[in-house]
Amino acid sequence: MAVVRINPSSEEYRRFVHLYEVARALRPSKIDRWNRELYATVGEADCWGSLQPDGSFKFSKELVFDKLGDHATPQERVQALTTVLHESNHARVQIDAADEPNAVRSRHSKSLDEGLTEWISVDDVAMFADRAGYGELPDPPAAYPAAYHAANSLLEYPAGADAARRTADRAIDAPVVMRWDVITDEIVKNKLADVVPRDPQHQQAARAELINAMTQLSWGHLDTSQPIVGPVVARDTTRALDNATQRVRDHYTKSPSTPYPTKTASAVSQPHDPGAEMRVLTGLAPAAQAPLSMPELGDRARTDAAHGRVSSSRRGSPNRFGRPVVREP
Amino acid sequence: MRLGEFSSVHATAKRRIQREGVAAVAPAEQELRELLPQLESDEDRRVAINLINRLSGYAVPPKPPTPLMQEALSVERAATESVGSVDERIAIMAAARRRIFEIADRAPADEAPGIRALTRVLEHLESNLRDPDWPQDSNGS
Repeated sequence: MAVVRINPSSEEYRRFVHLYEVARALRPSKIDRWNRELYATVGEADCWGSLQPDGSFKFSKELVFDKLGDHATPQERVQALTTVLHESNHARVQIDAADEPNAVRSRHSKSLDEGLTEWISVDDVAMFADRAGYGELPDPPAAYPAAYHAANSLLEYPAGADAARRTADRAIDAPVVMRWDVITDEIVKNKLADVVPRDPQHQQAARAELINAMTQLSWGHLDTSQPIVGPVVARDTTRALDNATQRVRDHYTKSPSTPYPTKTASAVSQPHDPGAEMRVLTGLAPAAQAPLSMPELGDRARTDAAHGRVSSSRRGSPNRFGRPVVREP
Repeated sequence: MRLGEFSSVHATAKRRIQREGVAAVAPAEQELRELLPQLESDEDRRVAINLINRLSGYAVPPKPPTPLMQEALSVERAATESVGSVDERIAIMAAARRRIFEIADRAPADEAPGIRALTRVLEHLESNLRDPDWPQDSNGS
């Protein structure tokens, strides 16, 4: 396998720039993480490619670059274009969001990012291909990876299938660490608007509780890498969110003027519904606990984060961020 | 209206047709045609009309996955849901991706790309285990 830099004067580079510009016109963003360096992997037959931490793109010659040219079947071409669109969508958002109390800084945000980005990219690839000059291509087969299904379950939860795309469009615009907050904001608006006051403190606390419903117990298993997406997680996410929504509703029914007393990290070892939440929470983000070992994001680290990385040298530093759960009962 | 915004409406209509069948086609087509004047250019309208013309096809239930696709889906799902150390899960995901490509190599030409595409997300999740955005999260430190 070799990695080859694509010369900016080459046909491959110009073709990619055209696709990238079309993708950004269809979904504009002030953020552009691509550093204009483009690479091809040659002879690495089982990797599609990705946006690299340094801001460059790297794509498979065989699976992507060759299939964007003249010699490809329609299905090969649509998958190459879906890959370009997927990666272009990654490049239009920041990963981190400084000082956001409901940010989820864990690999689980990456999982939601991947599921959501694939969900959106599959949705848009027909339009993208036609607008980019590839004509009408067939839809990709209706067979999706587990992360897609997990994202779909979350997107449909707040207000049903007809509102899923609206939620997705909001979430895909948010920094990667804030996608959970966007989805729970839709839940609060659609399922709890009659009880949760519009005051930002109440809204944030309610969202934090819903985030925590998907996050708690994974903190106890840091020595292993737990499953993070999948049909079981998708199904149980609904149950955990139902329970959390009811907890928020019960609280505001009894104490309408008191912000929801979201739990601290030390309180999360007692799940409300162990049967459901054990499975969910081994899979999803530890929002409440993430700051316990979260790197301190000083100016340098924020610069790193702006390039898609959090400096590992700051691992374990005391955090300066508010937690998504900050209030004791 | 941007073409991307039109695509959002189209995608929602597409899913509704997939759920509700042929009866949902005509209302969806009308809803989308009414948006055409709001698009920013004739080129956008051309693409939008092509998207509208695809809608009736979504009333036909998709073909069930072939045995090879089912096999690949099973491999992808098992790898995604695997439990173990970071190194173990990286190895599981890499092996799953190779396995899915082997399955695709046995598939007809029109099916193989879709099978290979199941690895697009898996590849990224594996990369994130190798080089995580939040190192403290995936190595237990």
